[in-house]
Amino acid sequence: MTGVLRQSGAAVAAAVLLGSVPDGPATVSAQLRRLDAQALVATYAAGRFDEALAAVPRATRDQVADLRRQLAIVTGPKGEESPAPPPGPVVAAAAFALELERRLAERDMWDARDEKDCAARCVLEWACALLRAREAGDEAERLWMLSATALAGGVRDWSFLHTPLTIPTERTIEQGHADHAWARWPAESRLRLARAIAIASRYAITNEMDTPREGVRTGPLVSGMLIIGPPGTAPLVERRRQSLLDYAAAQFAALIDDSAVGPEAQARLGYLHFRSGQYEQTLASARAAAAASKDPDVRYLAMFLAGQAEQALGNLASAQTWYQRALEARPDSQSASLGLASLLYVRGDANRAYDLIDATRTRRNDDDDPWRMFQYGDFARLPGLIAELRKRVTP
Amino acid sequence: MRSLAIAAALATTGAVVAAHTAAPQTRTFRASAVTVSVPASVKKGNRVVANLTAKDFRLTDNGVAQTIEAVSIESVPVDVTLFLDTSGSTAGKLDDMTRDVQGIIKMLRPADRFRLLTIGDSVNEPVSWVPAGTAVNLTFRPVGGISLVHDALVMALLHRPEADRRHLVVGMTDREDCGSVVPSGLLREMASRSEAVVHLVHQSGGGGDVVYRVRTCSPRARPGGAEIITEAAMRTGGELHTGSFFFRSTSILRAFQRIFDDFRQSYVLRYSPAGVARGGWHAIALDVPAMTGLTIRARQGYYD
Repeated sequence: MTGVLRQSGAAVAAAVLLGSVPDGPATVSAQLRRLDAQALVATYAAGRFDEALAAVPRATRDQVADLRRQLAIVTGPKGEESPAPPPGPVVAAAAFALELERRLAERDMWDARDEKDCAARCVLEWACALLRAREAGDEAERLWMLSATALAGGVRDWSFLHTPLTIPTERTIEQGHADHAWARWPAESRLRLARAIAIASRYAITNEMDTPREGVRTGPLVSGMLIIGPPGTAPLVERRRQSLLDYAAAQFAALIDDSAVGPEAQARLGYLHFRSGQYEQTLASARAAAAASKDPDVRYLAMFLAGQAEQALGNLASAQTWYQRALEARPDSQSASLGLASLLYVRGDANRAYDLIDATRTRRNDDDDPWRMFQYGDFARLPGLIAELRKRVTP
Repeated sequence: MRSLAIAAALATTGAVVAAHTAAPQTRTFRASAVTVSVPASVKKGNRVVANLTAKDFRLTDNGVAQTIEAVSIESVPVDVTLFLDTSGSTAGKLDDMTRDVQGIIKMLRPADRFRLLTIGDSVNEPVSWVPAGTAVNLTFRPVGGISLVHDALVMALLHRPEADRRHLVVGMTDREDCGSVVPSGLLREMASRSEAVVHLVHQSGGGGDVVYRVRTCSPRARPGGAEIITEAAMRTGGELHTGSFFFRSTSILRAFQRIFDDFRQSYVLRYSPAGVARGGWHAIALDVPAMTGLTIRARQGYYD
């Protein structure tokens, strides 16, 4: 994930060392120095991607706002606003917009709820509309749709991907980036999975579990959902909670037989069970996902989750076995190493615990552990998708 | 100086996190040759109380008085693990942190070693074990979302003890965990078994949270979790340093210097447990009966 992220982070760090302040008060000269959308897209379209994006980490907020407006909005003579035409080739303009927003997100400038200015959502929707306005979708468009989906997962802007996040009624219009992307690419099951992840997002939390104890069933220390209602409404609230959970689970269940995303959907269904304390069902889903997947990351996720479920059930030897199996699928990964080492240590096998931690810190330092990225949808795939997308900008 | 190697060596297999559970049906009273080591800092005000001997201390193991066999202020080399919480909430202090880390490495004695742990999407080790004085090139990057305080401390604690070396862990953190694999209760149990001494320095704010990767915990951190992390440190003989006179400066270098100096002047007491039942948690109580107004900070117990 973080190759480009790290580059960008380093750039921010360098900027600070040199004394410039990216988000500080804009100087007069900086305000005057406009970032020209047309020129930047032309640079990007010529394959000089990093050069086109080089100014983004240091741009002032005013410059960013101006650039976003240049890209996405045209203001008419009476002040009316309409979508801007592409400032260059459509694919290049859309890809530039996506990479721009990715870098701005790293600067905490996603601004999903900024009503006043054209913010991240506005720019991405503009780019998406440009691509969809073409008659037929091509591979560049498919990659762009997947990239935008992954980016929204990274900032956990689930309602950008799909609304409503609750159970629709007959009169509900379901919409969002995942929906209209899926409409263009009905065979792309990752878009369906993204939609399901968005719907299940209220359960995408990682609250701390209680201390594991042999033979004792444990649970999360804090409930992820706070449900408050007037006296006497508890059964209604509980029914509502259960129906929302069932609805979210149904989204993943519908994808289980899909050859591309089935095992991941199964693993995510297992996590839903885990969050609702249904550890036996978690185990069943995790086992099925691990057996069905050939992707080491998905296998790792499923087996790690099985370890967590066994731990919550108080079956600590079984938990150790699952963590061990996860580490066979993806050796030395940090999350399973920590899970296994902590159990070994308190059960008296300190030497193995030391070995595990030594191995993960030396062989997986700075690794993108699949479990750590689990709550961010497809975000871990974003660097790979952008790399592929760039190839389509300069065929 | 295999201080409290007993903690790990004697931990009973299969009795996971067996702290405070029912006592075994058959009690075996110890008369073993196992030695327990207890690091202890003794101060009056801010001054270290020096020249104490075994006779000056009174130590009980689960309430049973023990004979202290040796007391020393050890000048053995120290392995220092510095953990910097570089999660979003400390984002505004990253430049200070870079400078201070370099200062800390220079401060160590020639035989000491240093490593640095930080938090990113995982626990990272930007500086692996290096000798004192090594020049390091650091760039920190704030990361929003998860904040793996427990996992970082576990990574720090699970450092294989070496004969004739001590391990000091100093964590600069706001103690707000989000997303760790290891729950706080388990961290506390692990700290109880560890030979390391853990000190925490409260460090937060400075830049607000980076929300790029929005936190996946709701509420943001477990209520009471910070206190359990503090307890974990105290069980090792360390403590939480916050808002006191010597941390007026935001410099972690200054905080570290104080902790390191105290650590090097702390006593290590050794005894062979006698007359106590085996198994479970052994609470250690330590005092210096002949002196008043002392602050004694020592390992609070061990698992057998």
